[in-house]
Amino acid sequence: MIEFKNVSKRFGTTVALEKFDYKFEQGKIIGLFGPNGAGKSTSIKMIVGLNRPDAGEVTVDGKEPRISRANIAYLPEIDHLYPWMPIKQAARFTSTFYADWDETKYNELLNFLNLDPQMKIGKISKGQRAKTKLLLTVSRRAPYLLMDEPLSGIDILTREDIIDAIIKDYREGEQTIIISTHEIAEVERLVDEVVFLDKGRVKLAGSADELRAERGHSLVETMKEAFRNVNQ
Amino acid sequence: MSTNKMKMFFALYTKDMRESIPEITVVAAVAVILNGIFYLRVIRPEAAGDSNTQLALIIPVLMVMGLAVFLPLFSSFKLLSREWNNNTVYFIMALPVSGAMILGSKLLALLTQYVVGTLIAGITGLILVWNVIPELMNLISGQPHGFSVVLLLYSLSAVFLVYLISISFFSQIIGRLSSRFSGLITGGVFILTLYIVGKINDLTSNLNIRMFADWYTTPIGSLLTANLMVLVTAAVIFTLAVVVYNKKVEL
Repeated sequence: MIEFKNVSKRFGTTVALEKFDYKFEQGKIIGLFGPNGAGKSTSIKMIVGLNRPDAGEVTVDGKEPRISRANIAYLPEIDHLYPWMPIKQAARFTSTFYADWDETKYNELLNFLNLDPQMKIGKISKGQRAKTKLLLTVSRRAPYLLMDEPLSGIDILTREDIIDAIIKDYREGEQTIIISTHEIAEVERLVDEVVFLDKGRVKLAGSADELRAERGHSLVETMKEAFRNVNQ
Repeated sequence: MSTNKMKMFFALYTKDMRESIPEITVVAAVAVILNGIFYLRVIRPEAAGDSNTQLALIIPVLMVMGLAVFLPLFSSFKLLSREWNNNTVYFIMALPVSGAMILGSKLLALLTQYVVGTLIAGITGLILVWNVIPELMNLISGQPHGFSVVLLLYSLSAVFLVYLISISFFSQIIGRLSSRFSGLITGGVFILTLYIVGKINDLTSNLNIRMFADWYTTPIGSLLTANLMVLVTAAVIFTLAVVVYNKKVEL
């Protein structure tokens, strides 16, 4: 379980998180939604240990995030892979660090995502880079999969491939997936739970099905409603 | 799939070595071209026995050696800052490894670059000198402890490079703690650390000379002490860099 206990974080005068208090339950797909600057990326980076709270505490299975990195597969929004590496070499490099690397899954996904292992990461299209990042992240059998804007700037067909790849090997009840995104409509069918963040605080949270039933419309409409009310 | 720390370190080292290839190539190319040009000029019959021409040999040898010695220091700035500039820092910082492994692999890659570079410079230089001034080699081998002194001087230069690279890493990591003026802070910390360590070194050197006066009078003794002192200083600064990286660096 991932737990945020009254976590606050500022970057200069900008508030990223303000007394963020939430437990991400094990074995679910959780959508972390909200407008720009809501604190989605900061929250995810804190779970990986790339950011540290100014106040409060973040724990992964009761331990400090840095200690739990071996159990976390992280897909950042930016291109973070070495551009001179071919996909095959990047996979071999990544696999050295993680005991949960699954070579069979890697080969299956490589075919599924239609990627050539000889292609150099710096020379492929943005969509192919997004697929490569996903390939290297999802080829692990990590208990926690964190994805920060996995669909950002990606065309509609590639988006479908990416979502299908996420669903393909998801182990319900065993693996926890946190997806931070603006593209709520695209991932609506995926998520079990949602957390709407606004200015670093939890604006609305709960089961996706319950929220839909309670409010009688989609999560996109729920977000619009929630944030319109704030701004009025 | 099994993982172990040695494999992880080797993977990081190999990656960092791959990024050092351009510098090694530059040293090799300059060494061959520069020494080759001088060699061809010096072996002309009209230049034979000319002491001025022979003395001029020192120019390419020193130039190539200087390049081989200082290029790894410049590369240390490139190797670390590139991780931030290319956003690959998101990849390495998310790995289940400590800062000691990340910075250690880079340090070893730079040291390898130094050894390979100086070997190339040394071998090409020796070929040049051997052919033109054979008596110089006899002069070195005729000295008591001649080769031991040369070896200790070489190891001192390598240890000194480790010391400079440690300061480079430390200052860059301090610079990365700020989102603004990172380069300026890096430069300031680099100079300030060199100054402070220099001052501390002056004090401890005087103390050592008084305590181990006899030991210091022999070239081997003083070189060994210098090696040890620089190595300890480098280890302290490197450890500081690792601690700051592990505890303070954020993205």
